[in-house]
Amino acid sequence: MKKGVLEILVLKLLKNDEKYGYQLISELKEKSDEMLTLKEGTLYPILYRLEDDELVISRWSEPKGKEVSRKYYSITEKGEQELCSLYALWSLFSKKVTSIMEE
Amino acid sequence: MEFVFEKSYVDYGGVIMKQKTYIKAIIKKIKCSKKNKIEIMKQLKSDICIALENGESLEMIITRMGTPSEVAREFNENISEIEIKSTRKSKIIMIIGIIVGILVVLGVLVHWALPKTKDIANSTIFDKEIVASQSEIIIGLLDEGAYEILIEDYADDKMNNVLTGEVLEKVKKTIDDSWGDYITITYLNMIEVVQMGKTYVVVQVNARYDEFNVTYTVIFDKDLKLAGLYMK
Repeated sequence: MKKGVLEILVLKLLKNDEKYGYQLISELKEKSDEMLTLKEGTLYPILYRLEDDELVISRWSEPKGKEVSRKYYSITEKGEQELCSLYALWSLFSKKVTSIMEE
Repeated sequence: MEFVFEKSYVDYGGVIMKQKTYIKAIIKKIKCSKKNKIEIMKQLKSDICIALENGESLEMIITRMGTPSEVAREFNENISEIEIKSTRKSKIIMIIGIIVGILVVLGVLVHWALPKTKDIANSTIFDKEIVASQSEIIIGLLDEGAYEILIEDYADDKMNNVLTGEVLEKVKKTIDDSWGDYITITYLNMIEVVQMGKTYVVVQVNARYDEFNVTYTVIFDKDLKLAGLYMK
């Protein structure tokens, strides 16, 4: 379950901009008030799978001066559609969970 | 072997060395395809460099990321899922590929084994006149009872084994006792047939005798040797 949520979050973070791994990890940590501290070993397999499923696409940037080259990930159109449906599914799921817990 | 922090190394170049050693130790413990390993290594290198650019010290970075064992374990736990899914996918594709391959081979075999016909007018191998005169020779020999000649000179090897004078006499007798020479002959059909890689021409001839008619079906191979003979 947590795995599925992480994929939705990664896709959402990539919705408007292309980002690299380190960036995704720090953004997620910041936006979740440090509750979600993803490790590299968790994030990268997720990104690889998203890319295998053609939901994201990656490119290595050219190193600029002192800056080392980075692998930028961006969302594809298929990824945006998938994000919508996954989020809809997740919302429904969490509603049901809440309603049962609050019985 | 666990990665050990070396506290007594000289700093210049030491950071790069340490970084390399750390990454190598991680990669060594990760279980995945070589291609993926290279990708992961590039990624880790890039991440550590970015963190260094951001002001983190290598010690901080390594502490934050964890020991090589811990980092590798994370990867292994999450990667195995992906590789299982993709090997499953490629297995399915492979099975479908094999089935399609088998169907194609079967299709080709069936096509080869089935007879393909065309009228002699469209044949590039057989000539109508030549086939007709050959058929008439055969029928003539039959009428005369010249079975040896028929079998030796005109029949192909298979026919040689099957056809004997006795057989032919018997067949003729079942049709009529008084067999003479035919009076008129009409060609009903001449068809070229290709089956199992061999080419034949099938000739249906109606011969009118004194008191009866016989429909011959004569089959020649591409060398115009007799390959089949039926009488009705």
